Amino acid sequence: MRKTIKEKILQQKKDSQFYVKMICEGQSSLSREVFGRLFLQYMCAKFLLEPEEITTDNFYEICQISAEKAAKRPHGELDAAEAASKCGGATTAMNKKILFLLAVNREYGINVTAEDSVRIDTFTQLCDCIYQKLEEKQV
Amino acid sequence: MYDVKKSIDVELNVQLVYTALIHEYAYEGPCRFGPPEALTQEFDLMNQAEIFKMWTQGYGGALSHIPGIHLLDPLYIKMSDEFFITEEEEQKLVDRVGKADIFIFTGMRGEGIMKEFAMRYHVPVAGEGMFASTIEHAVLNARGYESYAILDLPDAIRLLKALRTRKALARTKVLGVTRNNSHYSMGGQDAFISNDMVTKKLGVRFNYFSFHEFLDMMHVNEHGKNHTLPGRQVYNLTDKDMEEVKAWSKELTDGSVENDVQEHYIENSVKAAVLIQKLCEHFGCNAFTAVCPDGCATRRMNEEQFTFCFSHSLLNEMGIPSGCEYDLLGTLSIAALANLTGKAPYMGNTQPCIWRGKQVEGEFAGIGYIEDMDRTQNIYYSGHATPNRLIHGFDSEKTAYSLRPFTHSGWGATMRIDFSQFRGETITLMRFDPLCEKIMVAKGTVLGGFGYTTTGCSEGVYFEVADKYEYFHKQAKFGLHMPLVFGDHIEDVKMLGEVLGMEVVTA
Repeated sequence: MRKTIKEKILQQKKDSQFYVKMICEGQSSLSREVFGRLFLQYMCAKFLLEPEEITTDNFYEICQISAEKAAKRPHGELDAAEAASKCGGATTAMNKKILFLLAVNREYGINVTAEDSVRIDTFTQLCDCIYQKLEEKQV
Repeated sequence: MYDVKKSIDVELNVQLVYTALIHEYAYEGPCRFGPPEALTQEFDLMNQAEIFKMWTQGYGGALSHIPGIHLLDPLYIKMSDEFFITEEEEQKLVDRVGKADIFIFTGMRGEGIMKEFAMRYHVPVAGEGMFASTIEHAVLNARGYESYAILDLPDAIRLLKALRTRKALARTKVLGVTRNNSHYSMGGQDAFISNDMVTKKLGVRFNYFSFHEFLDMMHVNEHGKNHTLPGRQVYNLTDKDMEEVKAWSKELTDGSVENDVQEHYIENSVKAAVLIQKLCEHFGCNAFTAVCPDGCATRRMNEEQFTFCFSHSLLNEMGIPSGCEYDLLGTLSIAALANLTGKAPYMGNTQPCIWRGKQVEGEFAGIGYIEDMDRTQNIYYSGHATPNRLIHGFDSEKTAYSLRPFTHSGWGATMRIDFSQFRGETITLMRFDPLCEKIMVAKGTVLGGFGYTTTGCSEGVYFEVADKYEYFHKQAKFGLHMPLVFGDHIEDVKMLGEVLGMEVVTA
């Protein structure tokens, strides 16, 4: 069981690196639409999710779905548990969002700032932000 | 309509403050732990910004929907793990001193910042969240500074409503129409011992005004001819005022279920309500009380053919606290209850029912036997011919009413509400004590009503209390008139007591 989980995580890590490579190498020719599809695959690999499990554009909810899947808790319960502890007020899903953005910064060589982060509420906004940062990097 | 600056329109300015702890280095230790990436400064910058956003949108969003609460732009104060804030950050807070009525802090390890700020600038602060609230309140309370602990959102709302009520009381100025002295009337001996002490304690001001001057001003277009102020151009009603009197009277007549009062007698009573507003605008007042038996004994009300009952009903509905019998204490209790609950209080003589068999004592007050008397001893009544249509709330649908004369002769319009329709509903009653050091608050369940079809002061509500004797002996230290509203507001009044620094006595 543990072996299976470990293998799955390693595989999804490889998958995410694959999409980083695709995006970075094809950066100059990628349309926003194609970039969005590839970035969705990247995010799914990072979040250990399948694309069909993403049923919302709300990025915080996507983080929540991922966190709940990881914790194998029913929908809605994970944040309640986190909020109850209230240490600083951060939820697991919120931390997941930030860790994800820090990974994006590191793996794509860009700088999504705290000011950018706080403005990102949806996956669409996230893609717009990253796409723009990659374009700026290219210039 | 005259421009009366009502206390129910007073807003409480609330400042949310988030202290963001940004660690300068990544390290683990007894107070922080986690994967390396979650310990970096970059992580903290994003994490704290996210929490601030969530807090101000969620918590602040909920508070901003509370009537009378005005949220100032939330403040984000950065603090490093050296646990101090720079002068620039402190200035953000200082800029809001004088603008905010309360500063609500949250954030990790911000208690010291909050403490220092409260002690330096003497501003009320509250801690939100489990650690901040408990620590901060213990620290500041012990040092004699004003502070509050907030448990959750309902607790915060209760606190803010109480603080808003305190501010509203401090903006209250009572037009007190008196005959013989400024502190109490013949019918309202259970008054504040010192009105000046009330001003010191609550910030309430009093504008004393002659009963005779008031009655002279009821005479239309006779400016300069008043016996009490000869040659002085004062505030007598005018033709324009009378247009309003007639329109308002017609509206009240048309809206009544039954009307036993002749048109000109209704207008006589409405004239008083318009003159009160005119004088309130002139003197900057927003609450009212006038003598009753003392005025009655002058025989001038018999001459003018009106009573103040209708004015009390109408003004209380408008959010202008209006109390019978020059009861300044009761009037301020109305003001407090109205502001705290958003409802128009009804104030009457509040007494336990006493009976043997079916013989009820005090039938002169209009009360009598009700079947509940066979079931329980714990029956009280509250009665005056001054009910109003908004005891359930200023925003509620107006209760149906009838108009009856106060006097046998037919003059003195009064509003009558049939309280029996509210059987089973909870009411809350409150009153300050004569020293202005305590508040009594009590709860009851409506059993029925009396006086809906009659004349005189015999209109009111029967209600059941937990223990009649306990209630009575506690109330006897506070006074006769206990303003009431529908609903259970015991906890709200307890919070008001906390905010005003008053002991709260419950029954």
